[in-house]
Amino acid sequence: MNSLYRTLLFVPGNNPGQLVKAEIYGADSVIFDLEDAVSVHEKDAARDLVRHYLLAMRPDNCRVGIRINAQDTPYYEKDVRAMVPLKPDFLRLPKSETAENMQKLDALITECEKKAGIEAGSVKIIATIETALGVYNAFQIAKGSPRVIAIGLGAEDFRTDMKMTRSDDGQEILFARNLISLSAHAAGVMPLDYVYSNFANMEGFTADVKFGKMLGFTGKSVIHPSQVPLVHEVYNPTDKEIEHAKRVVAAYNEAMARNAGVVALDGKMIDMPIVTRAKNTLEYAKASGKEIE
Amino acid sequence: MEFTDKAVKCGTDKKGDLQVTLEITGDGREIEVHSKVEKKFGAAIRAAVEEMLDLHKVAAAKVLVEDLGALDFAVKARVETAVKRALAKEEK
Repeated sequence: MNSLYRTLLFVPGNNPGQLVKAEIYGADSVIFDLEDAVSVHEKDAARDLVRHYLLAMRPDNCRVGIRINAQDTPYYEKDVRAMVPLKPDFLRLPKSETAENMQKLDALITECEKKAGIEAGSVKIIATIETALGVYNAFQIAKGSPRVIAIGLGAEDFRTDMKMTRSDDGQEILFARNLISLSAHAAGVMPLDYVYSNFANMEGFTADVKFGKMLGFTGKSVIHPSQVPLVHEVYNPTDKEIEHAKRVVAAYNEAMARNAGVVALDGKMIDMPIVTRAKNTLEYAKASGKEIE
Repeated sequence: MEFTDKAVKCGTDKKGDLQVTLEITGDGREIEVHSKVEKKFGAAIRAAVEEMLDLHKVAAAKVLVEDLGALDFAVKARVETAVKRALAKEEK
């Protein structure tokens, strides 16, 4: 299993056939969904199904997450109590609006971990932000608990909350995407890009993934298996980028070795942010399975 | 197998799933399995049903399983949900 969160594939929690197939698509994480993909009459059945599935045949080639129901629903607490003993890598909380939402979830996970004899802090949190208040509080949410490893935008609900008109290229959610990326980086957690729901439009999807990467996102939530390889292709550094990064790092190391104050490559000065980016590129390439000497 | 309005259902008619109809009774366990692969997996399906009834200490029940090629985990899950629903209905 790699250390990346390029793709987080949502899988409906109440469909045995789809649960079994979830791990074959190569996503870095699968998220078994107890929320939107499950009708209110079947919440109990989905919880039991995901639990028995994970007990019997938990995937070992990707991270396992569970999208639980929001804190203002009667399903939230049952979801957390049923899922934490299974030791998922993370719980994804919808409708995250405040730091208090994170603290409340943290406290309940802590209680469940203790009861189940799981090491404290094992189960992480990914917060989905999908209201105006949530976007406004994005930094506080990201800092709301040490368990929070990432925050992401739930675009459809956000549009509804903001009374926005939906555009094809998502211009209306640009500010929210920017603020979530900025807040995540400021808080030291991962920014995850939103679900592009029109999975038939691969051209639009690819452009959207590229744009998200440009804004600083480190991965994307996806709802269709066909979206997984495209996201990986965009997020994985190209051979050209890897080669350049290697040369930057080599030039930097060489300058350091001879105590030179200024680092230059191909006649251009290289400053620390460029070196840091080059090192990130090499780490990312290594984690995605590329051979780096 | 006949049921009264005390019976509960769980599952779907999708491939890889199953539908369970379950009623708590006062008179032993009765388990009926309809499956295209009953010859091969009927015993395993019955064992999964028994395991879930034991787990929830249900001594007497009628259970109808209409299997559409479900794996063991799905059989256990659907039966467990049905048992819980039936117990909750009894409490009301």
